[in-house]
Amino acid sequence: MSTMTIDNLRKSFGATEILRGIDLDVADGEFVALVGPSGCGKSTLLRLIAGLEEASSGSISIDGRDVTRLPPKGRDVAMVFQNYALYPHLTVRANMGFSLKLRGDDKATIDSKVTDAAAVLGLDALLERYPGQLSGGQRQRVATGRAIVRDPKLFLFDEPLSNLDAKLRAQMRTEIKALHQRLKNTMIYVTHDQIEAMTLADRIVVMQAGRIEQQGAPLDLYDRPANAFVGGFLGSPAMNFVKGILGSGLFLAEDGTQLPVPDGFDAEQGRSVLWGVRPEAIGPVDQGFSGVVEVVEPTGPDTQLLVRVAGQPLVVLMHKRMRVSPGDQMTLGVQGADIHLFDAADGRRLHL
Amino acid sequence: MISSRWTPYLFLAPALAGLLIFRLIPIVVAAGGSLTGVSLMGDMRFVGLENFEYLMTDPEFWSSLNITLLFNVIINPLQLAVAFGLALLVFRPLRGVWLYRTLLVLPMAVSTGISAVLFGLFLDGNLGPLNGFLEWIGIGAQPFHRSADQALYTLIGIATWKGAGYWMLFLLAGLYSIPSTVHEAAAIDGASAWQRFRHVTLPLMRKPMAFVLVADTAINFLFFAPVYILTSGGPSGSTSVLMFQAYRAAFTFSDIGRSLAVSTILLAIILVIVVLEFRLLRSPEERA
Repeated sequence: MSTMTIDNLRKSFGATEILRGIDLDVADGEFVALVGPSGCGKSTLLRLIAGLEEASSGSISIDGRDVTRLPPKGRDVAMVFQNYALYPHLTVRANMGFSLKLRGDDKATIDSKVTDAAAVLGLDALLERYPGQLSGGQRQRVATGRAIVRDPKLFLFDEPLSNLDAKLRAQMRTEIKALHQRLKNTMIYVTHDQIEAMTLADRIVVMQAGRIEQQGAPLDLYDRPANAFVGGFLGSPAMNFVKGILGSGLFLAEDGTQLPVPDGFDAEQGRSVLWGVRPEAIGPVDQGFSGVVEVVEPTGPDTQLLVRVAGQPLVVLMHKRMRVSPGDQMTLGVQGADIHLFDAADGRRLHL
Repeated sequence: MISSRWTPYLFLAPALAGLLIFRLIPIVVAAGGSLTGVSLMGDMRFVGLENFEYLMTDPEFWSSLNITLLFNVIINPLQLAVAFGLALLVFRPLRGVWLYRTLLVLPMAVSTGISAVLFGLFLDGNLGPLNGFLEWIGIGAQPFHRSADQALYTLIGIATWKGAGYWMLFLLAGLYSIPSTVHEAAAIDGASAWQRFRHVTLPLMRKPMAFVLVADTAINFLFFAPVYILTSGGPSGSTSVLMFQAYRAAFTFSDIGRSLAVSTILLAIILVIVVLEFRLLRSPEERA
C-alpha cells in the first residue's frame, strides 16, 4: 500500500532536456498509465522512479519518503521490462526467487512465495524451465511473477506487452488488469499504445516533449481533451481535424465549407482554429454537410469510410454494415456536443 | 536460381578444403610420421611404436612434460583472470577509455619474435632498465630468464603481457553482449554491485570465458618462439617445453619420427584438456 509524489522533476542528458518539470501524484492502489509518442520522456520518467537514472533536479517520494537520490535497491519498487530482462542462466523458479534470495529470505519462504505467484500466473508447470525454453507470453508472465513475489510498494511496467503479437497482447492486457484488481497494488504503466492505456488505467497521463499534457480518467480525457495533441493521440482511428476560422455560429474550413460548432459556442469571429471530431461521432443525416466517399473498409461489425469533406479526407466510423461505394455522395452530420475546437496556434481547447 | 541440397556444401567447400589441407591432412601425416624412423642412410621406414617407447623411457621427455603442464596450469588461468580484469576495467564508459583499450591491445601487434628480443633487452642483467629500477628501489637485480628458478615464470610474464590484451577483446565483447536491462533488473531486485557481478555477469560470461580458456590453452601448449629466442629451453632445461623438444628432435637430432611422436602426444594432451575445460564451463542449462 503506497503513494508516490513527484515534484518538478527534471532530467537532462547533456544539453538535451528529456523531462521538463514533471509533477505527478499517484494514490494508493492506483493504476496510472503514462502514454505519449516515442521520445516524449515516459520511459525516462519510469526509469527515474525506479532509480535507474538519476534526476537532474526535483524530487520523488514514495510513501512520503524522499527517494530521489536512493539507488534502486533502497526504493522497494519492482519493474517489468519490455524485453523482460529475465536472467537467462536461472530457471523460472530461480528468476522469480532471486530478489528474495538476495534479501536473505529462507528457502521455505522463497519456495512458498514463488509457488503462490506461479499459481496466480499459471506458471506452475514451467518452474524448472529456463527463459530460453519459454514463449514470449510465458516470459512476460515470468517477468510479472518476478515482480509480484516481492510485494513491492510500486509496480513499474515499461511497455511490457509491446514485444507480443496482437492476440497475445490483448490476452495479457486482460491478465494484467485482473492482476491489479486482485493485488490492488500501486502500478505505473508506460505504453505508447493508447488502447492499453485506456483499458487498463484508472488514470492516464499523456506526455509530450518532456511535459505532461493532460491527466485524468481515460474517458474524461477521451471526451474532453485539453488540447489537439491529446485529442489526436487518444482514440483509434484518430480524431479528424479540419483547419479553418470561426464564423458567426459556424466554422469555416479553408475551402469555405461550413461546418457546425459546439452548441452555444460563441467566440471571437475570424479566429484561426482546429475543428476536431472523432470518427464515430460523424454519421449520415438528412441535413448536414456533404462529402464524397473515397474508401470503404468493412471490418465485420464496423464500417470505416474515408469521406472527402472540405477538401480533405475525414475518417467516419459506423458501428454497422453500410452499402456505400467509392464516389457516392453522403450528407453527414455531427452532434454539437461531439465537436472539439482548438486554438490553431497553441492547440489549446477553446471551450469547456 | 540454382538451389539444391548441395548448395550449402558448395558454400562450405572453401573452408572445408582449407581445414582439410592445412589441418586434418597434416595431423594424419604427422601421426603416420610418428610411426617412422630414419636410418643412417637417410631412408624412412616403419618402426611402429618405437618412437613412443623411446620417449616413455626418456627422462628428458618426462621433465619436459612436467614443465609444459606446470607452464599451462599457471598461464591459462592467469591470462584468463588478467584478461577478464582488464575487460571489466575498460568496459566502464569512462572518458578516453578507448585509449586504454588501444594500449592494452597493442602488444598483439608486436610479433612474438620481436617481443622476445625486446624483453631480452628489457630484462638484461647489465643493460636492462627493469633491473636498474629494481636496484634503485632496493629489491636488487634479478636474473629472470637467466636462472633456472625464474626462467619459466619470466616466459609466463612475457606471454601474458602479449596475450592478455588479445583475450581481453573477446571478454569485452562478451560483457557488451549481456543486455543492460538484465543488470538493471538485478539492481531493482536489490543486488549490490558485487552481487550483480557474482550472480549476473559471471554466469553470463561462461561462454566467452570457455572460448578464451580453450583457445588460450591450445595456443599456450604450442608456446615456442620466446623459448627458442630467449632461453633455448634452459637454463638447465627449466624451460624446455614439449614444443621445444619436438623442435630439437627434428632440427638438432634430425629425428623426424621422434619429433612427430612428441607433437602427436602434445595434440592428444591438448584434446583431452580442451574437452575437460568445455565440460567445466558448461552452463546449467546445457547440463540439464
